[in-house]
Amino acid sequence: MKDDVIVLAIESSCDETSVAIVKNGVEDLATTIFSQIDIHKVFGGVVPEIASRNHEQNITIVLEETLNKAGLSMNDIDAIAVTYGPGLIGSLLVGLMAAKALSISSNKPLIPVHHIAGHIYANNLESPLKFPLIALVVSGGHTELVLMKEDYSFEKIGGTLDDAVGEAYDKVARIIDVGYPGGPVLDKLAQKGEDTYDLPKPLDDKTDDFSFSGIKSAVINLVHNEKQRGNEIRKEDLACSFQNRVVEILTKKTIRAMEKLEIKNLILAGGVAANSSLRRRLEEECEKKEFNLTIPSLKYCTDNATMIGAAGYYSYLLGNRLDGKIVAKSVEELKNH
Amino acid sequence: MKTLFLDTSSFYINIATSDNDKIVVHHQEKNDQKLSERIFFLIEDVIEKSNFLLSDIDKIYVVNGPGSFTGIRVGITIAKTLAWNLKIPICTISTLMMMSSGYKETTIPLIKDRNGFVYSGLYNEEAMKSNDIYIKLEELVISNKKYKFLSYEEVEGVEVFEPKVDIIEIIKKFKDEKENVHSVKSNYIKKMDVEK
Repeated sequence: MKDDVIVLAIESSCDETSVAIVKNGVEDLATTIFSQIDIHKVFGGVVPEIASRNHEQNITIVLEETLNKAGLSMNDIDAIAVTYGPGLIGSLLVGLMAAKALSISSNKPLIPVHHIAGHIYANNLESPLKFPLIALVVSGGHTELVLMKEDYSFEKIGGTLDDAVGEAYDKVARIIDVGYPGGPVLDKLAQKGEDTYDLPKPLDDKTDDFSFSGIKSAVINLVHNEKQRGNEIRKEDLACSFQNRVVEILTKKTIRAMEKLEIKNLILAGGVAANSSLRRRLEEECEKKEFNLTIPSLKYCTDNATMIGAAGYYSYLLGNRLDGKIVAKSVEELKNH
Repeated sequence: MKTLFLDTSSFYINIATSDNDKIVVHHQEKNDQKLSERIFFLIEDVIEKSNFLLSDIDKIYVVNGPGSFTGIRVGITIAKTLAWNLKIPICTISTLMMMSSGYKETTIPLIKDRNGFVYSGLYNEEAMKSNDIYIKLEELVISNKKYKFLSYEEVEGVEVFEPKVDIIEIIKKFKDEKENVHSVKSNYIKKMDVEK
Protein backbone atom coordinates (compact mmCIF):
# COMPACT_ATOMS: atom_id res chain seq x y z
CA MET A 1 0.00 0.00 0.00
CA LYS A 2 1.13 3.52 -0.83
CA ASP A 3 2.30 5.65 2.06
CA ASP A 4 0.22 8.61 3.19
CA VAL A 5 1.28 12.03 1.98
CA ILE A 6 0.75 14.93 4.37
CA VAL A 7 0.89 18.36 2.77
CA LEU A 8 1.16 21.64 4.65
CA ALA A 9 -0.33 24.37 2.47
CA ILE A 10 -0.12 28.16 2.54
CA GLU A 11 -2.56 30.50 0.78
CA SER A 12 -2.09 34.28 0.85
CA SER A 13 -3.10 35.46 -2.62
CA CYS A 14 -5.55 38.12 -1.48
CA ASP A 15 -6.77 39.08 1.99
CA GLU A 16 -6.90 35.72 3.78
CA THR A 17 -3.83 34.33 5.53
CA SER A 18 -4.47 30.61 5.61
CA VAL A 19 -2.53 27.47 6.46
CA ALA A 20 -3.87 23.92 6.26
CA ILE A 21 -2.64 20.38 6.67
CA VAL A 22 -4.18 17.93 4.22
CA LYS A 23 -3.73 14.16 3.98
CA ASN A 24 -3.64 12.47 0.57
CA GLY A 25 -5.43 15.37 -1.12
CA VAL A 26 -8.77 14.49 0.48
CA GLU A 27 -8.62 14.79 4.24
CA ASP A 28 -8.55 18.15 6.06
CA LEU A 29 -6.48 17.52 9.20
CA ALA A 30 -6.46 21.18 10.26
CA THR A 31 -7.19 24.54 8.70
CA THR A 32 -6.70 28.07 9.96
CA ILE A 33 -7.95 31.13 8.13
CA PHE A 34 -7.13 34.62 9.30
CA SER A 35 -9.54 36.81 7.37
CA GLN A 36 -8.74 40.49 6.99
CA ILE A 37 -12.21 41.27 5.68
CA ASP A 38 -13.07 43.65 8.54
CA ILE A 39 -9.82 45.53 8.04
CA HIS A 40 -10.50 46.15 4.33
CA LYS A 41 -14.25 46.77 4.69
CA VAL A 42 -13.52 50.32 5.82
CA PHE A 43 -11.94 51.02 2.42
CA GLY A 44 -14.66 49.31 0.34
CA GLY A 45 -12.18 46.82 -1.11
CA VAL A 46 -8.83 45.15 -0.52
CA VAL A 47 -5.92 47.57 -0.07
CA PRO A 48 -2.88 45.61 -1.32
CA GLU A 49 -0.24 47.13 0.98
CA ILE A 50 -2.43 46.58 4.06
CA ALA A 51 -3.08 42.99 2.97
CA SER A 52 0.67 42.31 2.62
CA ARG A 53 1.41 43.82 6.04
CA ASN A 54 -1.23 41.68 7.71
CA HIS A 55 0.03 38.51 6.02
CA GLU A 56 3.54 39.27 7.30
CA GLN A 57 2.32 39.85 10.85
CA ASN A 58 0.16 36.74 11.02
CA ILE A 59 1.99 34.08 9.06
CA THR A 60 3.89 32.36 11.89
CA ILE A 61 0.88 32.57 14.21
CA VAL A 62 -1.32 30.86 11.63
CA LEU A 63 1.36 28.22 10.98
CA GLU A 64 1.71 27.40 14.67
CA GLU A 65 -2.02 27.30 15.33
CA THR A 66 -2.58 24.90 12.43
CA LEU A 67 0.13 22.46 13.50
CA ASN A 68 -1.19 22.58 17.07
CA LYS A 69 -4.75 21.88 15.93
CA ALA A 70 -3.56 18.87 13.92
CA GLY A 71 -1.35 17.70 16.78
CA LEU A 72 1.56 17.49 14.35
CA SER A 73 5.04 18.97 14.01
CA MET A 74 6.98 19.94 10.88
CA ASN A 75 8.64 16.49 11.04
CA ASP A 76 5.31 14.88 10.16
CA ILE A 77 4.94 16.97 7.00
CA ASP A 78 5.95 15.45 3.63
CA ALA A 79 5.68 18.52 1.41
CA ILE A 80 4.86 22.21 1.51
CA ALA A 81 2.39 23.59 -1.05
CA VAL A 82 1.95 27.27 -1.76
CA THR A 83 -0.17 29.48 -4.01
CA TYR A 84 2.16 31.21 -6.51
CA GLY A 85 -0.58 33.04 -8.44
CA PRO A 86 -2.73 34.58 -9.63
CA GLY A 87 -3.35 37.22 -6.98
CA LEU A 88 -1.89 40.33 -5.39
CA ILE A 89 1.89 40.26 -5.87
CA GLY A 90 2.76 41.57 -2.40
CA SER A 91 0.35 39.16 -0.72
CA LEU A 92 1.56 36.17 -2.74
CA LEU A 93 5.17 37.06 -1.91
CA VAL A 94 4.65 36.71 1.84
CA GLY A 95 3.23 33.20 1.38
CA LEU A 96 6.00 32.25 -1.04
CA MET A 97 8.81 33.60 1.18
CA ALA A 98 7.42 31.82 4.24
CA ALA A 99 6.88 28.57 2.32
CA LYS A 100 10.40 28.60 0.88
CA ALA A 101 11.90 29.41 4.30
CA LEU A 102 10.00 26.43 5.75
CA SER A 103 11.10 24.24 2.87
CA ILE A 104 14.84 24.96 3.23
CA SER A 105 14.81 24.83 7.03
CA SER A 106 13.06 21.46 7.17
CA ASN A 107 14.27 19.87 3.91
CA LYS A 108 10.79 19.35 2.48
CA PRO A 109 9.90 19.77 -1.19
CA LEU A 110 8.08 22.95 -2.17
CA ILE A 111 5.07 22.50 -4.46
CA PRO A 112 3.66 25.36 -6.58
CA VAL A 113 -0.14 25.51 -6.79
CA HIS A 114 -2.26 27.69 -9.06
CA HIS A 115 -4.98 29.42 -7.05
CA ILE A 116 -7.74 28.21 -9.38
CA ALA A 117 -6.48 24.62 -9.28
CA GLY A 118 -7.00 25.03 -5.56
CA HIS A 119 -10.60 26.21 -5.96
CA ILE A 120 -11.30 23.27 -8.27
CA TYR A 121 -9.78 20.79 -5.80
CA ALA A 122 -11.92 22.17 -2.96
CA ASN A 123 -14.41 19.72 -4.47
CA ASN A 124 -12.01 16.83 -3.87
CA LEU A 125 -12.51 17.43 -0.15
CA GLU A 126 -16.20 16.59 -0.62
CA SER A 127 -15.72 13.47 -2.77
CA PRO A 128 -12.91 12.46 -5.16
CA LEU A 129 -13.30 14.11 -8.57
CA LYS A 130 -14.84 11.96 -11.31
CA PHE A 131 -13.52 12.43 -14.85
CA PRO A 132 -14.05 13.76 -17.39
CA LEU A 133 -15.57 16.82 -15.77
CA ILE A 134 -16.32 20.44 -16.37
CA ALA A 135 -15.51 22.98 -13.71
CA LEU A 136 -17.36 26.27 -13.54
CA VAL A 137 -14.91 28.55 -11.77
CA VAL A 138 -16.52 31.73 -10.46
CA SER A 139 -14.85 34.22 -8.16
CA GLY A 140 -13.79 37.84 -7.77
CA GLY A 141 -11.05 37.32 -10.34
CA HIS A 142 -12.34 34.46 -12.49
CA THR A 143 -15.21 33.23 -14.58
CA GLU A 144 -14.06 30.16 -16.45
CA LEU A 145 -15.25 26.87 -17.85
CA VAL A 146 -12.48 24.30 -17.48
CA LEU A 147 -12.43 20.79 -18.92
CA MET A 148 -10.55 18.14 -16.94
CA LYS A 149 -9.98 14.68 -18.43
CA GLU A 150 -7.87 13.47 -15.52
CA ASP A 151 -6.29 14.71 -12.29
CA TYR A 152 -4.39 17.97 -12.60
CA SER A 153 -5.07 18.40 -16.31
CA PHE A 154 -6.82 21.66 -17.12
CA GLU A 155 -8.19 22.83 -20.46
CA LYS A 156 -9.93 26.18 -20.55
CA ILE A 157 -12.95 26.12 -22.84
CA GLY A 158 -14.44 29.48 -21.97
CA GLY A 159 -13.77 32.58 -19.92
CA THR A 160 -14.79 36.13 -19.28
CA LEU A 161 -14.01 38.78 -21.86
CA ASP A 162 -13.97 41.55 -19.27
CA ASP A 163 -15.09 41.58 -15.61
CA ALA A 164 -15.15 38.45 -13.50
CA VAL A 165 -18.56 37.64 -12.08
CA GLY A 166 -17.54 38.38 -8.48
CA GLU A 167 -16.08 41.69 -9.60
CA ALA A 168 -19.41 42.60 -11.22
CA TYR A 169 -21.17 41.77 -7.93
CA ASP A 170 -18.77 44.03 -5.99
CA LYS A 171 -19.25 46.90 -8.44
CA VAL A 172 -23.03 46.65 -8.49
CA ALA A 173 -23.06 46.51 -4.68
CA ARG A 174 -20.98 49.68 -4.63
CA ILE A 175 -23.27 51.46 -7.11
CA ILE A 176 -26.33 50.84 -4.96
CA ASP A 177 -24.28 51.36 -1.80
CA VAL A 178 -25.08 48.16 0.09
CA GLY A 179 -21.61 47.21 1.32
CA TYR A 180 -18.68 44.93 0.68
CA PRO A 181 -18.08 42.19 -0.35
CA GLY A 182 -20.85 42.45 -2.93
CA GLY A 183 -21.57 38.75 -3.49
CA PRO A 184 -23.11 37.75 -0.17
CA VAL A 185 -24.78 41.15 0.31
CA LEU A 186 -26.55 41.12 -3.05
CA ASP A 187 -27.43 37.45 -2.72
CA LYS A 188 -29.22 38.16 0.56
CA LEU A 189 -31.00 41.23 -0.84
CA ALA A 190 -32.04 39.34 -3.99
CA GLN A 191 -33.87 36.75 -1.90
CA LYS A 192 -36.17 39.49 -0.60
CA GLY A 193 -36.78 41.09 -4.00
CA GLU A 194 -38.53 40.49 -7.28
CA ASP A 195 -37.20 40.47 -10.82
CA THR A 196 -38.80 43.72 -11.93
CA TYR A 197 -35.95 45.63 -13.58
CA ASP A 198 -35.29 45.30 -17.29
CA LEU A 199 -31.58 44.41 -17.41
CA PRO A 200 -29.87 42.92 -20.50
CA LYS A 201 -28.82 39.28 -20.71
CA PRO A 202 -25.00 39.24 -20.44
CA LEU A 203 -23.45 37.89 -23.69
CA ASP A 204 -26.26 35.51 -24.53
CA ASP A 205 -24.60 34.04 -27.64
CA LYS A 206 -23.32 30.72 -28.99
CA THR A 207 -19.82 30.96 -27.47
CA ASP A 208 -18.64 29.52 -24.15
CA ASP A 209 -17.43 32.94 -23.04
CA PHE A 210 -18.89 35.41 -20.57
CA SER A 211 -19.08 39.18 -20.29
CA PHE A 212 -20.35 41.15 -17.32
CA SER A 213 -19.29 44.71 -18.06
CA GLY A 214 -22.44 45.33 -20.12
CA ILE A 215 -24.86 44.44 -17.35
CA LYS A 216 -22.75 46.42 -14.89
CA SER A 217 -23.00 49.51 -17.14
CA ALA A 218 -26.74 48.90 -17.50
CA VAL A 219 -27.08 49.00 -13.70
CA ILE A 220 -25.05 52.23 -13.53
CA ASN A 221 -27.27 53.86 -16.19
CA LEU A 222 -30.45 52.62 -14.59
CA VAL A 223 -29.51 53.96 -11.16
CA HIS A 224 -28.44 57.27 -12.70
CA ASN A 225 -31.68 57.66 -14.70
CA GLU A 226 -33.90 56.75 -11.76
CA LYS A 227 -32.09 59.31 -9.61
CA GLN A 228 -32.59 62.00 -12.28
CA ARG A 229 -36.30 61.23 -12.33
CA GLY A 230 -36.39 61.41 -8.58
CA ASN A 231 -37.33 57.73 -8.25
CA GLU A 232 -36.16 55.61 -5.36
CA ILE A 233 -34.14 52.49 -6.31
CA ARG A 234 -35.74 49.32 -5.01
CA LYS A 235 -32.49 47.71 -3.99
CA GLU A 236 -33.92 44.26 -3.32
CA ASP A 237 -35.57 44.17 -6.74
CA LEU A 238 -32.46 45.43 -8.52
CA ALA A 239 -30.32 42.82 -6.72
CA CYS A 240 -32.81 40.13 -7.71
CA SER A 241 -32.95 41.23 -11.35
CA PHE A 242 -29.16 41.43 -11.58
CA GLN A 243 -28.63 38.08 -9.89
CA ASN A 244 -31.22 36.33 -12.05
CA ARG A 245 -29.58 37.55 -15.27
CA VAL A 246 -26.10 36.52 -14.12
CA VAL A 247 -27.09 33.12 -12.75
CA GLU A 248 -29.19 32.30 -15.83
CA ILE A 249 -26.32 32.87 -18.26
CA LEU A 250 -23.82 30.97 -16.09
CA THR A 251 -26.21 28.03 -15.84
CA LYS A 252 -27.22 28.07 -19.50
CA LYS A 253 -23.66 28.18 -20.90
CA THR A 254 -22.35 25.60 -18.44
CA ILE A 255 -25.09 23.06 -19.18
CA ARG A 256 -24.79 23.68 -22.91
CA ALA A 257 -21.02 23.10 -22.84
CA MET A 258 -21.55 19.82 -20.99
CA GLU A 259 -24.09 18.61 -23.53
CA LYS A 260 -21.86 19.67 -26.42
CA LEU A 261 -18.84 17.82 -25.01
CA GLU A 262 -20.96 14.94 -23.70
CA ILE A 263 -19.70 15.33 -20.15
CA LYS A 264 -21.77 14.27 -17.18
CA ASN A 265 -19.74 15.56 -14.22
CA LEU A 266 -19.92 19.17 -13.15
CA ILE A 267 -18.11 20.85 -10.31
CA LEU A 268 -18.58 24.38 -9.08
CA ALA A 269 -15.57 26.28 -7.74
CA GLY A 270 -14.57 29.70 -6.41
CA GLY A 271 -15.99 32.26 -4.02
CA VAL A 272 -19.18 32.77 -6.05
CA ALA A 273 -19.88 29.04 -5.57
CA ALA A 274 -21.32 30.23 -2.25
CA ASN A 275 -24.11 32.03 -4.12
CA SER A 276 -27.42 30.46 -3.15
CA SER A 277 -29.18 31.11 -6.42
CA LEU A 278 -26.35 29.70 -8.54
CA ARG A 279 -26.18 26.58 -6.38
CA ARG A 280 -29.94 26.06 -6.65
CA ARG A 281 -30.18 26.62 -10.42
CA LEU A 282 -27.28 24.27 -11.17
CA GLU A 283 -28.80 21.65 -8.87
CA GLU A 284 -32.15 21.91 -10.70
CA GLU A 285 -30.61 21.67 -14.17
CA CYS A 286 -28.24 18.85 -13.26
CA GLU A 287 -31.09 16.86 -11.79
CA LYS A 288 -33.12 17.35 -14.96
CA LYS A 289 -30.24 16.25 -17.19
CA GLU A 290 -29.02 13.54 -14.80
CA PHE A 291 -25.60 15.14 -14.44
CA ASN A 292 -23.45 14.66 -11.32
CA LEU A 293 -22.93 17.98 -9.57
CA THR A 294 -20.40 18.61 -6.81
CA ILE A 295 -20.40 21.86 -4.87
CA PRO A 296 -17.82 22.61 -2.15
CA SER A 297 -19.18 23.18 1.34
CA LEU A 298 -19.38 26.90 2.12
CA LYS A 299 -16.19 26.93 4.21
CA TYR A 300 -14.15 25.82 1.16
CA CYS A 301 -15.71 28.31 -1.26
CA THR A 302 -13.86 31.39 -0.07
CA ASP A 303 -10.05 31.47 -0.12
CA ASN A 304 -8.49 28.82 2.10
CA ALA A 305 -5.31 26.76 2.25
CA THR A 306 -7.15 23.43 2.50
CA MET A 307 -7.94 23.51 -1.21
CA ILE A 308 -4.30 24.39 -1.94
CA GLY A 309 -3.26 21.34 0.07
CA ALA A 310 -5.73 19.16 -1.85
CA ALA A 311 -4.48 20.40 -5.24
CA GLY A 312 -0.88 20.38 -3.95
CA TYR A 313 -1.07 16.64 -3.36
CA TYR A 314 -1.71 15.97 -7.07
CA SER A 315 0.87 18.56 -8.11
CA TYR A 316 3.32 16.75 -5.80
CA LEU A 317 2.49 13.33 -7.32
CA LEU A 318 3.21 14.79 -10.78
CA GLY A 319 6.64 15.86 -9.57
CA ASN A 320 6.06 19.62 -9.74
CA ARG A 321 8.63 21.44 -7.61
CA LEU A 322 9.40 25.09 -6.99
CA ASP A 323 13.20 24.77 -6.90
CA GLY A 324 14.46 27.63 -8.97
CA LYS A 325 13.47 31.25 -8.92
CA ILE A 326 10.57 32.09 -6.65
CA VAL A 327 8.21 34.14 -8.78
CA ALA A 328 4.80 35.42 -7.74
CA LYS A 329 2.44 35.78 -10.70
CA SER A 330 -0.29 38.39 -10.55
CA VAL A 331 -1.84 37.09 -13.78
CA GLU A 332 -1.39 33.48 -14.77
CA GLU A 333 -3.34 31.03 -16.93
CA LEU A 334 -4.31 27.78 -15.25
CA LYS A 335 -1.60 25.24 -16.13
CA ASN A 336 -0.92 21.60 -15.43
CA HIS A 337 2.07 22.48 -13.28
CA MET B 1 27.31 30.61 18.95
CA LYS B 2 26.44 30.76 15.25
CA THR B 3 24.30 33.56 13.85
CA LEU B 4 22.65 34.58 10.59
CA PHE B 5 22.31 38.28 9.77
CA LEU B 6 19.78 39.28 7.11
CA ASP B 7 19.20 42.70 5.60
CA THR B 8 17.10 43.26 2.48
CA SER B 9 15.69 46.61 3.48
CA SER B 10 17.40 49.17 1.28
CA PHE B 11 20.34 49.85 -1.08
CA TYR B 12 22.37 46.77 -0.33
CA ILE B 13 21.52 43.22 0.53
CA ASN B 14 23.61 42.10 3.51
CA ILE B 15 23.72 38.45 4.41
CA ALA B 16 26.28 37.30 6.95
CA THR B 17 27.12 34.42 9.21
CA SER B 18 29.17 34.65 12.36
CA ASP B 19 30.68 32.16 14.75
CA ASN B 20 31.66 33.24 18.27
CA ASP B 21 31.62 36.92 17.36
CA LYS B 22 33.71 36.51 14.22
CA ILE B 23 32.39 36.96 10.70
CA VAL B 24 32.48 33.71 8.72
CA VAL B 25 30.97 35.00 5.46
CA HIS B 26 29.57 38.44 4.67
CA HIS B 27 27.96 38.87 1.28
CA GLN B 28 26.97 42.36 0.23
CA GLU B 29 25.49 43.32 -3.12
CA LYS B 30 23.38 46.09 -4.60
CA ASN B 31 19.71 45.47 -4.03
CA ASP B 32 18.80 46.25 -7.63
CA GLN B 33 17.71 42.90 -9.02
CA LYS B 34 14.48 41.06 -8.36
CA LEU B 35 14.99 40.53 -4.64
CA SER B 36 12.36 37.83 -4.10
CA GLU B 37 13.67 35.74 -7.01
CA ARG B 38 17.24 35.99 -5.78
CA ILE B 39 17.21 36.06 -2.01
CA PHE B 40 17.07 32.32 -1.35
CA PHE B 41 19.97 31.60 -3.70
CA LEU B 42 22.01 34.11 -1.73
CA ILE B 43 21.01 32.81 1.70
CA GLU B 44 21.69 29.20 0.78
CA ASP B 45 24.99 30.20 -0.83
CA VAL B 46 26.18 32.08 2.27
CA ILE B 47 25.19 29.18 4.54
CA GLU B 48 27.01 26.71 2.29
CA LYS B 49 30.16 28.84 2.00
CA SER B 50 30.17 29.12 5.79
CA ASN B 51 30.15 25.33 6.02
CA PHE B 52 27.02 25.67 8.13
CA LEU B 53 23.70 23.93 7.97
CA LEU B 54 20.65 26.08 8.61
CA SER B 55 20.02 23.89 11.64
CA ASP B 56 23.37 25.02 13.12
CA ILE B 57 22.17 28.62 13.43
CA ASP B 58 21.59 29.70 17.05
CA LYS B 59 20.15 33.18 16.46
CA ILE B 60 18.84 35.34 13.64
CA TYR B 61 19.34 39.10 13.32
CA VAL B 62 17.10 40.78 10.81
CA VAL B 63 16.88 44.38 9.64
CA ASN B 64 13.24 45.50 9.92
CA GLY B 65 13.32 48.93 8.29
CA PRO B 66 12.85 51.67 7.45
CA GLY B 67 13.41 51.31 3.70
CA SER B 68 11.63 49.66 0.79
CA PHE B 69 8.28 48.25 1.96
CA THR B 70 8.64 45.07 -0.09
CA GLY B 71 12.33 44.71 0.75
CA ILE B 72 11.71 44.89 4.49
CA ARG B 73 8.76 42.52 4.26
CA VAL B 74 10.72 39.89 2.32
CA GLY B 75 13.48 39.92 4.96
CA ILE B 76 11.13 39.86 7.93
CA THR B 77 8.95 37.07 6.52
CA ILE B 78 11.96 34.87 5.79
CA ALA B 79 13.68 35.59 9.12
CA LYS B 80 10.64 35.05 11.31
CA THR B 81 9.63 31.85 9.50
CA LEU B 82 13.18 30.49 9.85
CA ALA B 83 13.38 31.48 13.52
CA TRP B 84 9.96 29.96 14.20
CA ASN B 85 10.72 26.69 12.43
CA LEU B 86 14.25 26.34 13.84
CA LYS B 87 12.99 27.43 17.28
CA ILE B 88 15.78 29.95 17.77
CA PRO B 89 15.84 33.55 19.03
CA ILE B 90 15.28 36.45 16.65
CA CYS B 91 16.28 40.08 17.05
CA THR B 92 15.34 43.05 14.87
CA ILE B 93 17.73 45.87 13.95
CA SER B 94 16.94 49.27 12.47
CA THR B 95 18.30 49.93 8.97
CA LEU B 96 19.58 53.28 10.24
CA MET B 97 21.31 51.72 13.23
CA MET B 98 22.99 49.27 10.88
CA MET B 99 24.21 52.13 8.65
CA SER B 100 25.87 53.81 11.63
CA SER B 101 27.21 50.63 13.30
CA GLY B 102 30.75 51.15 11.97
CA TYR B 103 31.07 54.65 13.47
CA LYS B 104 32.22 55.34 17.03
CA GLU B 105 30.95 58.92 17.14
CA THR B 106 27.34 60.11 17.05
CA THR B 107 25.99 60.09 13.50
CA ILE B 108 22.75 60.77 11.70
CA PRO B 109 22.07 58.13 9.08
CA LEU B 110 19.35 58.97 6.59
CA ILE B 111 17.42 57.32 3.77
CA LYS B 112 15.84 59.57 1.18
CA ASP B 113 12.15 59.19 0.45
CA ARG B 114 9.92 61.25 -1.80
CA ASN B 115 8.99 64.95 -1.60
CA GLY B 116 12.03 66.03 0.41
CA PHE B 117 11.31 63.63 3.27
CA VAL B 118 13.85 61.29 4.81
CA TYR B 119 13.92 58.46 7.32
CA SER B 120 16.47 59.27 9.97
CA GLY B 121 17.60 58.81 13.56
CA LEU B 122 20.38 59.75 15.92
CA TYR B 123 22.85 56.98 16.68
CA ASN B 124 25.98 56.44 18.70
CA GLU B 125 27.75 53.51 20.31
CA GLU B 126 25.36 53.44 23.27
CA ALA B 127 22.10 53.70 21.34
CA MET B 128 20.15 50.45 21.76
CA LYS B 129 16.62 51.31 20.77
CA SER B 130 15.54 52.56 17.38
CA ASN B 131 14.51 56.21 17.53
CA ASP B 132 13.77 56.49 13.83
CA ILE B 133 11.53 59.20 12.44
CA TYR B 134 10.12 60.39 9.12
CA ILE B 135 10.99 64.03 8.69
CA LYS B 136 11.55 66.84 6.16
CA LEU B 137 15.24 66.92 5.28
CA GLU B 138 15.52 70.67 5.95
CA GLU B 139 14.16 70.32 9.47
CA LEU B 140 16.53 67.48 10.21
CA VAL B 141 19.57 69.38 8.95
CA ILE B 142 18.82 72.69 10.67
CA SER B 143 18.73 71.24 14.16
CA ASN B 144 21.58 68.74 13.82
CA LYS B 145 24.41 70.56 12.05
CA LYS B 146 27.09 69.38 14.46
CA TYR B 147 26.73 65.68 13.58
CA LYS B 148 27.92 63.60 10.65
CA PHE B 149 25.19 62.68 8.17
CA LEU B 150 25.35 59.24 6.58
CA SER B 151 23.70 58.24 3.31
CA TYR B 152 24.22 55.76 0.48
CA GLU B 153 22.97 58.38 -1.98
CA GLU B 154 24.02 61.94 -2.54
CA VAL B 155 21.80 64.42 -0.72
CA GLU B 156 21.49 67.88 -2.21
CA GLY B 157 22.92 70.61 -0.03
CA VAL B 158 24.19 68.26 2.69
CA GLU B 159 27.63 66.75 3.11
CA VAL B 160 27.10 63.05 3.63
CA PHE B 161 29.49 60.24 4.54
CA GLU B 162 29.36 56.62 3.43
CA PRO B 163 27.51 54.43 5.96
CA LYS B 164 29.68 51.73 7.57
CA VAL B 165 28.13 48.40 8.48
CA ASP B 166 29.86 46.51 11.30
CA ILE B 167 27.90 43.33 11.80
CA ILE B 168 30.01 42.07 14.70
CA GLU B 169 29.36 45.33 16.57
CA ILE B 170 25.63 44.77 16.10
CA ILE B 171 25.77 41.13 17.14
CA LYS B 172 27.67 41.99 20.32
CA LYS B 173 25.45 44.92 21.15
CA PHE B 174 22.29 42.84 20.83
CA LYS B 175 23.69 39.65 22.29
CA ASP B 176 21.08 39.44 25.05
CA GLU B 177 18.17 40.84 23.04
CA LYS B 178 15.45 38.62 21.65
CA GLU B 179 11.84 39.10 20.66
CA ASN B 180 8.74 36.93 20.50
CA VAL B 181 8.85 35.64 16.94
CA HIS B 182 5.10 36.20 16.43
CA SER B 183 5.41 39.88 17.31
CA VAL B 184 8.35 40.55 15.02
CA LYS B 185 7.24 42.94 12.32
CA SER B 186 8.43 45.47 9.82
CA ASN B 187 9.07 49.01 10.97
CA TYR B 188 7.73 50.92 7.97
CA ILE B 189 7.43 54.20 9.97
CA LYS B 190 5.69 56.04 7.15
CA LYS B 191 1.93 55.70 7.01
CA MET B 192 0.22 54.52 3.85
CA ASP B 193 -1.79 57.07 1.89
CA VAL B 194 -5.08 55.38 2.81
CA GLU B 195 -4.27 55.60 6.54
CA LYS B 196 -3.78 59.37 6.53
